[in-house]
Amino acid sequence: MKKRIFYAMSKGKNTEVQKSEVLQGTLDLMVLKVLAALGPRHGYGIARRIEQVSEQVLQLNEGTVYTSLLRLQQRKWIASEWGTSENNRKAKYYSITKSGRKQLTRETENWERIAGVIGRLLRLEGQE
Amino acid sequence: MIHYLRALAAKLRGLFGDRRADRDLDDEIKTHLRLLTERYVRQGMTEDEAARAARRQFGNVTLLKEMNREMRGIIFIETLFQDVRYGLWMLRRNPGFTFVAVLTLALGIGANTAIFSVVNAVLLSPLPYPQPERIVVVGAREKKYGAQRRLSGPEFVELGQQNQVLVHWSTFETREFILTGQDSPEQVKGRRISQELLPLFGVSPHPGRAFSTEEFQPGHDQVVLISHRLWQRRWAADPNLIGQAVTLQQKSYTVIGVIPPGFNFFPDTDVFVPAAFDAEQLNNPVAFVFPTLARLNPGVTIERAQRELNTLGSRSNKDVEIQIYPVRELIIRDFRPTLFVLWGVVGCVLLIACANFANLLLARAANRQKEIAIRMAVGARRGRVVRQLLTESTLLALLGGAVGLLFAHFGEDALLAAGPVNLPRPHPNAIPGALRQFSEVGINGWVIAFTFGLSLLTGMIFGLAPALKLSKPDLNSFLKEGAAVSVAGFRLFQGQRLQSLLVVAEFALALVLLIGAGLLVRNFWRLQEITPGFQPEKLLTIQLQFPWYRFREHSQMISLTGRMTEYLEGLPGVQSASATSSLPLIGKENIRGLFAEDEASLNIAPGLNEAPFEAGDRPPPPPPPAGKPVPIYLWGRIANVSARYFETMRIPVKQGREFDKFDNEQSTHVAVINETMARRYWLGKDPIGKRIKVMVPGPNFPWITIVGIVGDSLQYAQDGKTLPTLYRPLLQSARRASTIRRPKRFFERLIIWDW
Repeated sequence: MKKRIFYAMSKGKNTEVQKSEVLQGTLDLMVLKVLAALGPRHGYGIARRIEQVSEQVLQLNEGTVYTSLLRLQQRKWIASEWGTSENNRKAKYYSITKSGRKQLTRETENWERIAGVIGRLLRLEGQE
Repeated sequence: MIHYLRALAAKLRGLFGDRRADRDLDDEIKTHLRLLTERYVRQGMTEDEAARAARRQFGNVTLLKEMNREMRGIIFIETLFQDVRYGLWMLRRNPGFTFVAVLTLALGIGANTAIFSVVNAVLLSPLPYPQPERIVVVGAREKKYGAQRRLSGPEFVELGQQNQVLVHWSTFETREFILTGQDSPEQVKGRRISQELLPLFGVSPHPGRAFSTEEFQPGHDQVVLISHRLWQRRWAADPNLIGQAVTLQQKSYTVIGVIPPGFNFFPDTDVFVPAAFDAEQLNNPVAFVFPTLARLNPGVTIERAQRELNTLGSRSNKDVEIQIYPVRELIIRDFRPTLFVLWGVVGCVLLIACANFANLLLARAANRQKEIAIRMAVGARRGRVVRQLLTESTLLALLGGAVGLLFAHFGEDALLAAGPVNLPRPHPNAIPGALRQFSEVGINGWVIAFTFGLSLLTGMIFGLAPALKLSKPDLNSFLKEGAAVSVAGFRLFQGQRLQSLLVVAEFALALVLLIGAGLLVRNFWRLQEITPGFQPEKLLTIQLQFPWYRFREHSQMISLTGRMTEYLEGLPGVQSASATSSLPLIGKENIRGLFAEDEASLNIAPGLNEAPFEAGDRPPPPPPPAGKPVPIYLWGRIANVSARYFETMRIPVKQGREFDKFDNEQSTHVAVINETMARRYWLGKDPIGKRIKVMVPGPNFPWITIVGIVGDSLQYAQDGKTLPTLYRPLLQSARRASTIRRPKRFFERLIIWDW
């Protein structure tokens, strides 16, 4: 018991990690979805697409997209390739892999299930 | 220091191709920012405003790079540097602990390094010759007696000429030379070598030239190659020496070249002369004087070569098996078991040192519990703490390894000195001092790698248990008792259990070593207890050497020995003096076959006179004279002794008499035998008055009458064995040179009984 309190009080890695993990997980899901829906995109394009869809609801440090891309790449869910951007700049293009699509399906189901539970819970609490 | 480490980290990154990943990310970020800026400019911002907005939207670039790098694992190295820094600080803060721990490990690791450096040089590295694994030794085995020996002259000639599997068929012979000339006379070790020997090892003299074919013909062989060492020492590496004459054995030899220092197959040899063998040597079937070396033809295996040589060899003698083995075998055979035993022992020492080390770490754990608990309380994961502790123990072990290297440096010489030179029974083909040719034994790259590998392993493995234990503090009790926490507040029981285990292991290992050491001491003690059959107290020995060119006649040696003995006996304090050709306990043997004149008088215990050739190149009996019945074959060690020998040695005369000065060339040939010989061949009978003959190739030997029996004296200190021995009066001893026409150097030993 005391141990748990101690963890909550500490300013160490534990809390930080937990907090960012949630965020990262969501971002990863979004990046995967964008790549699955729109095909190969560079980092800037992905950021634009998320911005467009989120309609100013989500404040995004666009740099974190690259952390997410590296993470997804390390898990082999996306692949990358150098190419030329629309205005003739060298840019890295990312595309979703087969295992990335599978992961996207799993994560989507997972997300919907949790969202459903939370939604139901919030509705029930509201009726009381 | 830190900058250096950072630079190192950067280098490591470069090594792992991470610099490219960094550059790629930089490019991506630049493009991203550029595109964002352009977008804001399109929306009507100025360039500056747009760039600022873009950066804001993008977030902290440095942090991003840092995170990416961490994800790529670079951070591992940086953490390592942190840990090392902290670890070094901790070690400096506890100098006592550091000193003891480092010293403990240094002893263990140092001992192992010393042994490994020898193992590495002797067993693992190739010999310093081209394709050394193809150089082989050719010897023979007497199937009847199981004795290994060198090749005889006819074997050497026939096998060398007829075989298709070996090249550079060569042999050598040891000779002592006395070098006279401008400087003081000097005795040097020399070898007579056959023509193919230097090509076999890929050696060519420099400066100068090798022997020509003509120089191997008798009469043209007055040329000499000298060692680099002798050239430097005596002639200060004077290049003008080549072509000049030097005096060896009072004969003039022309120096034609210098053997380069890299050639160490005969490590103690300074003079090489061509071996011009004469017909008598080459035709003598019972003198096994040809140590034979050769090189396998390309594609030929040792097994195939052995088969072919055996087919050739069995044509002339069915009882002989030709043996071929790699030259390395010859050098290390006697040394290998010693080396492995030593390695086992030092392995035990290292384990004890490690257990001690782990215990030290555990003992210190009590002091660090608080520090660790705080670290974990502020969020350090257990793995991180374990890593920190492991870094510290590994640092300690590496320090120990470094000090151990120093220890090893001093230990090696002692180890090499214990080479096969000192072993009691070297192989018949062995070359004295041959182990010395591994002059490159020492600290080299492999040895350093071994040491630090060992240190790393030690630090990791033996630091792990203490680290795991330490990183599991009972936070609960620690928090309850706050800062006033004491050693007793920890789970001492758990720690004690681990510590007890270590102590038990240490104790067990120490016991193993102790028992081993005890056995050695007991052996040594038993050696002290052995009654050697004579009284070694107050006995002095002198070894004399007779240069053969000064003592061409055997009688010259005998008369000098006689005069010296007389002179010594006249000295005050000397009770008696005598001479012998073979001291007991030295193991030098001259074993010969014997005939008995009256075979009916013999009573040989069955099985006892078989297999006389236990080791060495003793000759088997020559074939019996044609037409005569096969005589019963006896054997014995022959020792030539002068008058009063048994009295001087205090070897008791059991029966009959010992020699006196009247047993000379003119009188009846007599012998005294030891009890072992009497028991073996005349069991329950009286050998006194019986006549025997020594079998030596060459002129017929006279019949010898046995006049006395003396007590046994040990031939070898090690096994307490006594050989059947026949003593002959020195004055009646025949020229040993009669076996081979060439005069040989001759050793005599004078014994003084000092009162």
